[in-house]
Amino acid sequence: MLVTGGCSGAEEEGGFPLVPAGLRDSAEIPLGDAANARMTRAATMVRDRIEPAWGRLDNRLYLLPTDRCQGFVEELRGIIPVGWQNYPLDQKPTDAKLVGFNKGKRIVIYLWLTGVSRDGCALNILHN
Amino acid sequence: MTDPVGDAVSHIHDKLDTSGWFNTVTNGETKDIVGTLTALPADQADQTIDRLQQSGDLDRVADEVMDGDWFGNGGLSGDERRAFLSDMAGKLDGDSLAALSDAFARADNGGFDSVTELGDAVATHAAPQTKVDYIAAMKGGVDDASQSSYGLGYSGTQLQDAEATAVGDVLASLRGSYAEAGFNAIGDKLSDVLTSALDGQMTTIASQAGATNSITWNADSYEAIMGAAASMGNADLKAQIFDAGVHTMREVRDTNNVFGGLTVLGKDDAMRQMANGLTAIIDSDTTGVMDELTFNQSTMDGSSFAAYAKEMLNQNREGELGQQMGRLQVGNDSSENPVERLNAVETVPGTTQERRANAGALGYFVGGVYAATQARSQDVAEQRETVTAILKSALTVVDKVASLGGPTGRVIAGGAAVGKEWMQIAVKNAIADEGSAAGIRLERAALPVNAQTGELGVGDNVASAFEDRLASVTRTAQP
Repeated sequence: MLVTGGCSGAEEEGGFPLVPAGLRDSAEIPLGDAANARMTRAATMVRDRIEPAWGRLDNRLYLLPTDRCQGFVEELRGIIPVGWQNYPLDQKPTDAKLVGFNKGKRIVIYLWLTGVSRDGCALNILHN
Repeated sequence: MTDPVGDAVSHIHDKLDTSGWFNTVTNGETKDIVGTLTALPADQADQTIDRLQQSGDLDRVADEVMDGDWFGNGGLSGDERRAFLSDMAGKLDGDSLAALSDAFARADNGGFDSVTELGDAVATHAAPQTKVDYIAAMKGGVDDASQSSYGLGYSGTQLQDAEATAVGDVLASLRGSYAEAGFNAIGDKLSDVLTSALDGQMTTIASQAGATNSITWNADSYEAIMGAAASMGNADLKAQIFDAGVHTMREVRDTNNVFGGLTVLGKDDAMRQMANGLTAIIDSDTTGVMDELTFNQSTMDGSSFAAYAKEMLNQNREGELGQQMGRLQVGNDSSENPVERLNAVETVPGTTQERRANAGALGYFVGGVYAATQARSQDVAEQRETVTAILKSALTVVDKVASLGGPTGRVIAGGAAVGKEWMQIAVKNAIADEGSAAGIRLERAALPVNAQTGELGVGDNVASAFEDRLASVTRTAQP
C-alpha cells in the first residue's frame, strides 16, 4: 500500500481536489467482505442520487487512518480548494457518512464508513 | 596486438568517407561495411556498433544501407538488408539493437520498414533476455504516432508507430518469465504497442465522384501479444494486459461512431482475433485472472470484462463464457468442491480484513455477463437463449468434476462429490427455469443448492460476498 501525499487546497490535473494526504492507497480494493458490503450499499445510494443529474461517477477506495475518522468532515472543509462549495446531500446511510462538494459541472463525494477497524476507516472518493 | 574492433571501426569509417569530388559511398562499399560487421563474432560486433554510435558513424551506416540512389551508389536490396538485420539481431545486445533501430529510424529512406524489419529480426533471432533488454531500450521511442503517405489520387495513413510495432512483434515472441519481464519493461506504453499491433490502415481515394474513405485492420500481432501474456504465470499482470487489450478492442469496435462515413473492412475478423487473444488470457488461468480483475481497483467496476463478454456474445461464443463460469465454480482443472471453494477465506493484502475472493470473483463474472447481455439485446427471447447456452456450457465443466469412480478416472472425496451434485442442481434448475429473467437465472446457477433442502448450499457469508460484487458490477459496468 502507498500513502497519498499532496497539498491542502490544491486541485489535481483533472480539476478535482487533490486526494487528502496521508490516506492508504492500494492497487486492490482495501476492504474485506463485511466493509465491502456496507460500502457497496452506501455507494449505490450515492450513485442513484447523483448520477442522473451529474453523470457517471468514477471512484477509488482508500483507508483513512483511525485517528482522523471522527473529524474528517471538518478536515475536508478545511482543505477543499477555493471555489468549491458544499453540495447538500440528503441521504443518510445508516453506517456511513458522506460529504459532497461541487464547482461548476464537477462534483466530488467523500463517503466513509463510520465503523472503525484496526486498518482505519474505509473511504470512497467518487467524482464525475 | 590485434584490435579487431578498432580495425573494423576504422575500416568502416574509411568506407564512409565522402571527402573530395564525386567520392560517394558506392553499393560495393556499403556491402563491404555490412560484410565487415557481419564477419565479426557477437561480442566484437556489439562493441563495434557501440563505437560507431559514439562517433556518429552508425547513422551514416544506416543511411547507406537505406540509400535509394541509382548508378551503383544505392544501398542494400530488401533481401540483403533483412539478412544483415538478422545477423545483427543474433549478435547485438538490447541497447545496441535499439541504437541500430534509432539509426534506421533517422535514415533518409529509413523509418517504418527498416525499424519493423529489425524488430522482426530480433523477434526471430535474438536470445530471450536480449529481447527484454531491447524492449526496455526501445520504450522511450514508442508512441501513438501514425505514418502518412500520399500518391496520385489517394492518401494513406498507417495507424502504426514503427517502434511500437517492432516492440509488439518482439513481445509476441516471448514466453513465460521472459514475457513477464517484457511486459514489465514496456510498462505504461503497452496501450501504444497494442494500438500499433492492429496494423490499421486508413485510405482516402479521390475520384470524380468524390472521396471515399476506408479503414482496415489486421490483428495478427495483437493476438500474438495476448498469447505471450497468456503464457505468463503472473495473474495480476495478465489482468492488467487484459484490461489494456479491451481498451484497444473498444477503439476498433467503436470506430463507426468515431469516424463517420468510413468504409470499414475486416472489422469482424479483427474483432474475432482480439476476442481470441483476450480469451487466451482468461482461459490460461481463469480463476486467477478473474480474481485480479475483481479486486484490482482499475478493473473493479467490471466495464472491461463486460465489454469482453459482450463481444463474445456478439460472436456467439456463449460456450466459452460458460466454461469460464464453470471454472470459477469448480476450479481451473475441474477438481474442487464448489462449496469449499466458494467458502475459502483469505486476508485482504495490507489489512487484517477477510474476504471470500472466489465467491466475489464469481459475482463479478455473473454481473459482467449480465451487464453484457443487457447491453447487447433487450429481446427477452434472445437473452433466454444466450443464458441457456452459457449455463449448459458451464454445466459441462461442473460435470467434469470426478465423482468416486467417475468417468475421468479421478477419485475425489465424498464431500466434493456432494458439492458437485449441489452445483449441478443449481445450474440445471436455472437452465430449466426459462421463464425467469436472464439476471436471475445467471444468479441462481452460480451458487450450489442443497439437494435435501432445496436451499442455498453455502452460508450467508458466501452469498453476501457473491451478491455484493454482483450488485456492484451490475450497477457500474459499462460494456
